[in-house]
Amino acid sequence: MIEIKNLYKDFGELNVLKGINLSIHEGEVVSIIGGSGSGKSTMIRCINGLEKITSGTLTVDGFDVTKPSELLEARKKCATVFQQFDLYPHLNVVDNITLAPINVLGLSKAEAQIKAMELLDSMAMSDRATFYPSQLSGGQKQRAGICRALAMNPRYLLLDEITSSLDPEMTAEVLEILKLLVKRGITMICVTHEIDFAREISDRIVFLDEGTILKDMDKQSFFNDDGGLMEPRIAKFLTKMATI
Amino acid sequence: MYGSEGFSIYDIILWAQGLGVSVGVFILSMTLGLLLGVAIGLIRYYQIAFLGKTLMMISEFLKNSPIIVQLFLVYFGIPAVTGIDMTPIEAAVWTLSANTAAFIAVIIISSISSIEPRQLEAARSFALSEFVILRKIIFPQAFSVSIPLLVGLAINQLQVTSLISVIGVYDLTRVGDIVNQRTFEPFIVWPIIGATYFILAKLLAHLGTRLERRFSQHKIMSEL
Amino acid sequence: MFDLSSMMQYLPAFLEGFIMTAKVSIISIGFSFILGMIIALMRISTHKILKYFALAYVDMFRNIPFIVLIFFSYYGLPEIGIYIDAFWTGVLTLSLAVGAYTAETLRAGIESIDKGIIEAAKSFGLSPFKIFIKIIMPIALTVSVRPLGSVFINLILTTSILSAITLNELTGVSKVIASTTFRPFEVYVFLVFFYGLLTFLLSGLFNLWHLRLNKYNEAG
Repeated sequence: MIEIKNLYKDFGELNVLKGINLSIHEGEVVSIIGGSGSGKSTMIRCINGLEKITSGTLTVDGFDVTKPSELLEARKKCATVFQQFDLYPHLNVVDNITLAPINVLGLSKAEAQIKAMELLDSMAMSDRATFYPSQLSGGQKQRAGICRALAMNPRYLLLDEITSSLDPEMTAEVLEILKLLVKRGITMICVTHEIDFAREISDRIVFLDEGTILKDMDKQSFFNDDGGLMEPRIAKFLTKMATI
Repeated sequence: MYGSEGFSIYDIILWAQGLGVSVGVFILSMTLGLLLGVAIGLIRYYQIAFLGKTLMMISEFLKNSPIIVQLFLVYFGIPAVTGIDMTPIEAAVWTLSANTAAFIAVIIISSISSIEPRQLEAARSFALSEFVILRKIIFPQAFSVSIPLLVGLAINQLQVTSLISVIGVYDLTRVGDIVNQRTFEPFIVWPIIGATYFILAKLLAHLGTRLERRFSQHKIMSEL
Repeated sequence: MFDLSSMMQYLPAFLEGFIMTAKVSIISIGFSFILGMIIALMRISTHKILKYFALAYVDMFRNIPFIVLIFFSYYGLPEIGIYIDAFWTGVLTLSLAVGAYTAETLRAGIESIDKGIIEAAKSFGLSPFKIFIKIIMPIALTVSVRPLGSVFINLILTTSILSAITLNELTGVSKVIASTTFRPFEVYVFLVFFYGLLTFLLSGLFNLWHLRLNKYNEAG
């Protein structure tokens, strides 16, 4: 379980997250939506320890990310896929995927490579195994990014706007893969702009607005007329997203 | 026994003399090097057959061999084959000028090639003479591009002047050596000499930034 | 007039000088690279004291002529009870001085790396040491390898100054040959060509290394 209690995050004078309370259980697929500047990416960055939280607590399966001694264990349980892919440019696809399993989980090179090839195969990427990131299309890069995250055998998959840098065709390609992962029962926390997609895969929607959680409810209720849409800001946001 | 004499008031005069020699050789060789380097750059740019290529090849060797060896070659080598005697200062100025010119030629060529060829074609289509094109179009633009590179080179060449002490020029470093041999106080002598060079380099860098700023302003003004 | 044949007998001596130059150069390149890495890391660290120390270090060694530094070490070290020969005095001073240039070159390479890549590595739990060795250095080197090549070529040319503290490297040996044969012109012209050839070969080597390291960028 990921447990966030009374989380505050300031950047100097700017308060980005103001008292977030959120629990995410194993097996759930949670979409975090909200306008730009609502703090949704910052929240994901707090979970994997890339941002130091200002106050409050954040634990991943009981491991406190604010304690340096527990951060590594917390990180082993969460794997992130990034908006800008952030693949290691000097390593080919397989080496990108095996770097952390070998150096963090202590897998042998052979084990890690077999696992990587299995993952690539499941995403129809086997023929790109020895390519460098610069030789891949955006969609392929992101599929490699997903493989890199899954190779860590994470309990939680954190997805940070992973389709924002892709054109519609490639977005569809990546979303198909996520649907497959949902079927496998992986826990996902996904920050996204894709409302339709959130509606399709999530169990739960969290709507973030100016650093606070405006609504946190299961999908059915959220999209009902007497659910999330009752909230004028959400209704406005959803219409705006629909027109794009 | 050395080490017993200590410092004297005359050491300050020695220091000032050395400083004068260093700065003098630096200014002289930079000026000569600039003239020579621009000439080589232009000869190469206008592709004057044979001469351009030969000069550039000599430049390559001047850039890629130790200054100390170049100084020995000019001071000991040239008199041995030509019979022309040179004072250490003359040899130093000629060597450093040639060495500086080699670097400046490269800066000039790369600055000129940074100018869009279409501009020059346009100018030629108006039947402007090559000299006018050079003076009014190529030179002002190439100059503002090359200023930061020239400043960097100048700071480097200032340090290079310290090597002329090895052929016996009484520059700042040689003065340091003499005073050090007499007093045997390396922990006083060399920090003072080092600090002098350091301050000179900082002054030069400061001057360079001001120069760059002036010319970048000039560029903005002319663009308006 | 230009006669090299009479100097063939000095070839073994010349070779010995070359070996000395190579030895000093190789050891100093190794030391200055390690030192440069440390200084570059200090320079980009958030720790104020480390940062300013590195800044002062780089500023000092880049603005004081090497011959002044070498005289300081050569005459200064024995005064404080450190007795090392001209070879090690040269290696140490050269490494310290060139380390400043190596640091700046590496820093430029490190700062060119996209922050997101390093964060990605962090988020997977890679230790700072592993990130430095496996991610930061390899990427930084692809950017820095050519400027680093010029820094090291400059180091080799600078070893000639060690002749001033009696080290018998290429230049020192050639000085002796020039004065015993009374043919300084031939000796020094040959020496200029020899150093030129050496730097030419080395810059070729660094270009090859650059291509090898950057092969992943080719297709992009």
